[in-house]
This record gives sequence, structure tokens and C-alpha cells, in this order.
Amino acid sequence: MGEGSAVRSRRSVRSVAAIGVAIAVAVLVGSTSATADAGDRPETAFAMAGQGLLNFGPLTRAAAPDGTPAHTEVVGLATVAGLAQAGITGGLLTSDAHIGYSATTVADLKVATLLSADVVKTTCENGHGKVEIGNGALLDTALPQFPVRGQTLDLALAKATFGEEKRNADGTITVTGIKVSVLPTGVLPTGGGLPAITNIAYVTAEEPDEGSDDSGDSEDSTEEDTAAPKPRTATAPPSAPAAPKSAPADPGPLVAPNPSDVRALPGLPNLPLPKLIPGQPAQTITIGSATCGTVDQKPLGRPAGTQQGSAEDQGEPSVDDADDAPAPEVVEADLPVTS
Amino acid sequence: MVTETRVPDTDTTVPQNRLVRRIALGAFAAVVGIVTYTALRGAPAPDVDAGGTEMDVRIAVAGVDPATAALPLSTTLTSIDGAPVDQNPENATDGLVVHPHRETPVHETPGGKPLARLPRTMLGDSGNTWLPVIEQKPDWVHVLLPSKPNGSTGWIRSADVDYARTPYTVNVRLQTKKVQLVKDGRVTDTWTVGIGKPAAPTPVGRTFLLGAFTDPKQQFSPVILPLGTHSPTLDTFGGGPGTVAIHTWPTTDVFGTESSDGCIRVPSAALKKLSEVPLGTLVMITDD
Repeated sequence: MGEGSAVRSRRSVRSVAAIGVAIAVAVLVGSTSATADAGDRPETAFAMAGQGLLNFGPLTRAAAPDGTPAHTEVVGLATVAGLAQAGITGGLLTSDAHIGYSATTVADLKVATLLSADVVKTTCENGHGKVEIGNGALLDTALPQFPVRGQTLDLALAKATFGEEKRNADGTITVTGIKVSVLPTGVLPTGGGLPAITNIAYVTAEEPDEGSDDSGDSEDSTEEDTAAPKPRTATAPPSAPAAPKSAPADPGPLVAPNPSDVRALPGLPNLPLPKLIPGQPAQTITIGSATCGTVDQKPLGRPAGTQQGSAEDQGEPSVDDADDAPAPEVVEADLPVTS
Repeated sequence: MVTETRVPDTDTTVPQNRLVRRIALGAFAAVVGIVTYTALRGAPAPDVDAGGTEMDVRIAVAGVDPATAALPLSTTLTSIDGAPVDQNPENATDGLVVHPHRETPVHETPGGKPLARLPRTMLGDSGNTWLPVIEQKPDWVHVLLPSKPNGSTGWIRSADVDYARTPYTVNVRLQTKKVQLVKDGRVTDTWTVGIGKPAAPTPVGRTFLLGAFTDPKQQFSPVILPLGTHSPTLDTFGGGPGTVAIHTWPTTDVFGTESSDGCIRVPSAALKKLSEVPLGTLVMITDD
């Protein structure tokens, strides 16, 4: 046993030494790369980044400042502090960049019970963005394979935007594959639409109390009535929450939890619920970002034929060929006016 | 047997371990030294897989490059320093309105200094941004902005917008306290309205319909139509930025009076019609 420990100790020390050397080399290479970013070409890509309770990234970044093709890749996310503990795992992450092109791919992605995808590929080519999602799901809701630019999926507890494009001040385009915001409004939502997803979101699948009435007929119940269906608590998330349990017991009707019972982030049950700030998401995770310029001087951007009235397709904006502007959509907003 | 092959190494294990430990310590010292040096000289954080600095993360999540991320958003909540001021606040336009289909920078001149970022939506994540075009140059459109100061304008790339035409103009005449809805050059409706009191006047100038929203906390009107202009005397109001809006009012005694804090109070029938006017439509507020 002592010998085994000695061997493990030696291996451990060697491993530490190897990691140390590797990190030193990576830091040196990284420093060189960062300095070289001052080059002319804007193409860059990275695979993942997170902001909020868990800050990480940008991971697997590639840049081609002088136009020389660049490729970075990493297998798994186990070495990134905090991700494994939060239940965030990935298979192969790659990023590529060269003149007029950048792309990044995340394979076998799993963000606890929040998000999963076999593959998310984000591409920026000659000023055009494209996103492809293979077998993706957000809180068990399927994601589009080829999302429309800027398409959103709002599940109240979490909101995802796909293929969002933004123009940079230097004229380049950045396309973001998936951007997920957890508790996007900084408020715990309650009410309609939530019960259907609470089982995988942030509550534990507790068995109903013995003798409780799970028929859902709780109209006469009071808060003190122990016979009423109890909100499932968020204290002890299951380790594999989305997977069907082997025990076939009916978990009973899903009910939205009281906000005071929620102690974990929706979809990230290993992370404690932070102090929420209205208007600010509790956690944001970016899957795939690619920035590129054009290799010609034409201001490309919108694929032809996707929408009428686009200056990219039809030249300069003009009332002569313009459609009638749409009537406004009345939205709900919080904007005090002078009244 | 296997155990025996390992035991004789005992004598050499200590020096080997020491050597390896020294290498490890040396490597980590190098890392610490390089990181410290990099931090002290203020250079960007290196690209290691463990991630960059908090700033790197923020910029990465912003979805734009660092220079662009530093620009403020142009919304009704913000003020854009250096934005060109509308030089023809009394002129109508041909009705061309544009919607940025991607977030795009606002420039001082075509291709000139970037001043701000114009988001696709104006009221949080909803309510598409539509702005009136007041001038055009090849590949660029000159638009009115929703941010402070009043009369702010900027140039955005034509390639980043969808465009359409509104046949409407809304005229607000302060002296006579009338609002006119004009379609294709003809006045279709006129209403008597309430305007800002002398201490908080309704601002004169060329502005536009910025949005249409409901707000449970502002129940004086079922729908509120914010404009791209702000109170000239109230920097903030009710926790907001002093945005002037068109809305109705629970009582009719305000119509024909200078009674509001800058907003334009209109009858319910007017609100119903104005709620169907496209965003980006010019609102011409004049002294007469």
C-alpha cells in the first residue's frame, strides 16, 4: 500500500510537472497569439464562454491575424475549473480561422439539465453567419436544426437565441451560435407554462406524501393543508435529472414551486440560486462565436431571397420599391414615461 | 514479484522525486512570473483553455469585438455623446423607415467615428426597432436616434437594415393643442389633446413613434406609444429617462390643456388609430 502510494505520488508529481510545463508553454503561445491579434485580419472563433454565477472562457479560441489558417481543439472540459462540478461537459471542441472564414464546433455538449446537443456548429464566412444544431434541446424542448438568424426560444426559466449576428465597428460580423440566458429577466417566474418543465428545471422529483391527494383537485386546499400536492423542492438535484428514473412510480402532477423553495439555478441544479438582479440574467452561456470579414469589398450579410425590402439584396433603400411598413406589435414593457 | 520490482527503486526515488518536484515548481514559478508580468504590463490575458479574464468573458458573451462592446447602446434609456444633431427638424421625409436586422454600429458620418450600437429591438428583447431615414448616401442611411439628447442622429449601414414605407405623419400642434393624423399628405383625423405644462413642456422638433407597449404599472392608458424624444426639463421621471409618449388618460378634462409632464394625452379614439400607425413614422411637434 505504501509502495502504491509512492508510485502514485511519483506519477502525480510528474503529472503536475507535465501540466505545469504545458501551461507555461500555453501561456507563452497565448501571449504570442494575443500580441499577434493586432494584425489586419479579424477572423476569430471560440467554442464556449459563460458569465454570471459561473465565469469561464472564451474556450478554444482561434485567430488568424495574418491570414495563416489557425486551428485549436480540446477534448472535454474536465480541465476547466467549475464546469464539471456544474454538470457542463463537452466532447470535442474545435475552432478554425483563416481569411474570410471562421468556425467553431462543440460536440456532445451537455449543460446539466439545461441544454444538450450532439453538435453545435457556428460559421462565419465572407460576412455571412450560419448555425447548425444537431439534436439539440433546451430544458427538454427541441431546438431547430437550422435556426433563422436571431431566432429565440423563450421558456421563461431560460431563453435561447440562435444565430444572432452583430456588426462590429470595423465592419466585420460576429455570429453567436447559441446564447442561453438562465432566468433571463433576473426574476423567478411563476404561473402558467412552468409546471410542464419544472421536473427537469430546478426541482427535485419528490415522491408524493403518503395519503396525499394527487388528483390535482386542490381547490379547497390551503397552504397548511398537508394533503395538497407539495411543490417539489430544489434542494437536492438529481445527478442525471433528465434521464427517466428506473422506478416507474408516478411522480404526481407537476406544480410550479414557490419562489422561496427554489434554491438552485434552473437547469443548473448544482449551482446555488444567486441573489437575483431584475433585468440581469443569473447566468449566460455562449455556445459558439465566429467573427469574420469579407474577402471582397461588397457589404454582404443577408442571404438573398430571405426577406423583401433588404438593402443587401436590392441595393439602396428606397420608398419606390418599399413595402408598407407593418403595424406595430404591442409588447409588454417596463418603461416609465412622463405621463 | 511485481512488488519486488518496485521496491529496489526506493533509494533512487527521493532524488528523482526531488528533481521532478523542482521541475514542477520551476514550471509553476514560470507560469506565475509570466502571468504577473503580463498583468502588470496591462497586456491582454493569454488564450489558455482555462479561459481569459473577466473582461474577456464579458466581451465574449456580448457577441461583438472589444472596441464595439465598449460603445453604448442607443435606446431611449441612454445618451450618446457626440451624436450629430438633426439639422432639419421642421422637414418631413418621404416616409422611408428602416429596421436593423442585426445589431449595428451608429457612426458620426458614413464610415466615420462609431458612436453607439443600435439594437434590433427597443423595449428589452421585444418590439422591433424602426427608425425614420432623414438622409441617404451610398451604402449608408442617416436616421433619427431614440437616445438623448433630443434631435440625435447617426449613420448606419444600409446592408444592415430592412426597409419599408410609412404613408403616415403625426402632427402635434402645441399652441392649438391638436394632433393630426396625416396619410399620404391628407389629414385624416384631428383630435384635441393635452400637452406638457410650462414647467415640463412637450419638446418641439422632429421625432418618431418608437414603440407600442402595455405596462401594468402605468394603468392610465391601455397602450403607450413612446416617442424618440425626452422631456427637456426632467432628466428622469417615475424611474424612467423622461421619455415622452402618446397615451390616453382616465379623465377627459385634460384635453385642450397644458397639464401633463411632457406626454401627449389623447382621446381613446385617437390612441386606437395611432396604435396602428407603423413604428418609425415621423411625429412633427411644432409650436403653432
